[in-house]
Amino acid sequence: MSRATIRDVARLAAVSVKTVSRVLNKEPYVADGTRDRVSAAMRELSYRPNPAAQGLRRAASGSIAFVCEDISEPFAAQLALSIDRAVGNEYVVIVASMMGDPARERETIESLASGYADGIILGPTPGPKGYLARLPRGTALVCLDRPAPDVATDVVLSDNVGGMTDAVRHLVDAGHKRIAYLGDAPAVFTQQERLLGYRAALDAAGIAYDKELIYQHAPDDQRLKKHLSWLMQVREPPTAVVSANSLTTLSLVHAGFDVGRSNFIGFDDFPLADVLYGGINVIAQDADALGAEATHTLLRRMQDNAAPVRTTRLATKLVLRQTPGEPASADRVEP
Amino acid sequence: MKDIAAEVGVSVSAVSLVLNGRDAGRINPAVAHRIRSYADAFGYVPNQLARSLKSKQTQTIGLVSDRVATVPFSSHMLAGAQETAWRHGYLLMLVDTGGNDTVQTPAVQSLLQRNIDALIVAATYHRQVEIPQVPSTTPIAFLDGRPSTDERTVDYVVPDEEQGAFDAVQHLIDAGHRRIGFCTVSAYPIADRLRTRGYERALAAAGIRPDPSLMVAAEDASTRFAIAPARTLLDRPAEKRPTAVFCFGDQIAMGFYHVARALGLTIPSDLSIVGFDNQEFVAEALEPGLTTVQLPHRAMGEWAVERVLGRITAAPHQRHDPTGLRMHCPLVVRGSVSMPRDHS
Repeated sequence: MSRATIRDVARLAAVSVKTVSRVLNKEPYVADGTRDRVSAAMRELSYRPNPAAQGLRRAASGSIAFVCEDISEPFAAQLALSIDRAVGNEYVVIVASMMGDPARERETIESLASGYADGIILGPTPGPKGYLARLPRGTALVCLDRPAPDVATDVVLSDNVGGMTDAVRHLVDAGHKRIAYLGDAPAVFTQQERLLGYRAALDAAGIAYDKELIYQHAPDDQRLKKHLSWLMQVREPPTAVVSANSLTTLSLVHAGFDVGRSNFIGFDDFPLADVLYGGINVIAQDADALGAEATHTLLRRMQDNAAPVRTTRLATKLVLRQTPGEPASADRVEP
Repeated sequence: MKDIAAEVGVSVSAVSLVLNGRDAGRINPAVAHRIRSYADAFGYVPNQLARSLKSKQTQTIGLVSDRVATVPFSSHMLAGAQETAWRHGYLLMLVDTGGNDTVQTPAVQSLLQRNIDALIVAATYHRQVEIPQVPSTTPIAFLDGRPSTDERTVDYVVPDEEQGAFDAVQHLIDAGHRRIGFCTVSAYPIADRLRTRGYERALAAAGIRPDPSLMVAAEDASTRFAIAPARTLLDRPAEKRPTAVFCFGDQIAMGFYHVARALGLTIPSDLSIVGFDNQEFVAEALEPGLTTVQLPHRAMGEWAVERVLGRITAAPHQRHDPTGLRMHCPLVVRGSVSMPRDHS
């Protein structure tokens, strides 16, 4: 049987659709007896209002904001697309890029929360976010990709630890013991998690963690290039490389490093990674699932702002586009 | 409001009362009527800029796009717009319609509700765009699109497709080629027409008679659509085959690389190729690197924002007439062009 509509409820309670709507929206001017009759009809039909459609009626704002670091990055764009799909046509999704600036982020969120957006999906910049707890009542907020460090909100993110563990385990299974880790600045939440995943895989294989193989800096082609040549001169050079985000992978490409090889795996898939350099091995985050889950979490939060907060971690997928060969020699890692 | 007050000869606070609907019993109805008609004539909309200054709201530029955010290809346009807005203390608020035209109106409305100070309408590729209904006081610019009606009514910036194509073909002519093929893409009619014109004009300028058998079309711009037209153009005896091909896009060029390789043709000695787009990680990742024409997306994004900001800050009489700018598309030389074999 198809899902009960507001019309079915109105018919059963012998009232107008408008009256059902008034009851749903807890508006005044409904006689108590009528209200009870409508509620009974809803129970009988197991009627649940469509949250998105409700937003449409509350058209004062009708928008959801996605506040991200930089929408011109492919991953953020994929998230925006999946959020857009998940909200359907009932909401307009407004996107703003904070470019890593916490002051701009605060100004933007406070402005959005003052009535311009019913809900906010935020990929927070690093740093304290105490003000998020003091937003006007009724502004729903979900953190996506990483939590706000000091505020309890719903969070939707990838299983960063598990994803990196899978990748490093794969390289260890292929015979590698010296695996270089190249990542973004350690202040970035996802980078901390991914380094944990790297360590977990080494621990599990009984391989000692060597700080010498760890590089954590904001993407900088020149700096990375120097680091790569330096890596080749250490006493026991690495035979495999993992990159902890797509910006570092792209920075590797710019530095002249051949990322299309079986002893390289990068966190994050990106456009054309399947065809470039004969295909690049990646740990793919499920942008569609992340965006959809964040949206559904937000819509739930908009329905019930008192529900306990929760963190949802979504699985990543190891996508191997290069067939593993023999354990590589040191010179194969050289740019 | 000052302009209206001066024009009607009343105080600014009288204008404010009338325009905020609080004039009843305070202002003479005849005066109120005059204030309202002047306000209409000035295209005055209740006070967005002033209101946002008063409440210290973030100053914002709204950007409505048809999938720009979701097509990685155009990300430089956004990056250019975003960074320029940022530098001037503005935040760019983006609404992506996902290419669904029916969403454009709610999208624009939701941005206007945010008291945006200006609106940019961006398209993912050079095409005609409807001018959305916005208050006449909100500056508006089109990015990678041209207005579907009168070209002079709105600022817009598009790539100079014809110049880019002309330069690409001229580059091949300069290398000594005379039998130059062209693979266009029919899914993009404006760019198709202008790039074809650039190709034909460059040939004509060099006194080369265009050979229709050297012109082919792919249905769409991704690599798989290029395979069949590339075979048509390349799988023929050497004397009938072009020595060089100008491709509508870099991914089309990638298809030509595949087919050339399959036919045992070496790039560039057997076949020179020039692309269009300078798409990140395609043009530079091909072997040899693809000589191509840069779509100046970043500069276009920067220009659109500079343009609307200029309108926000300039007094009405100082504002320039709307301009349609064709942004220069520079040639990026890599390794896919050499002299033709029969020339050396």
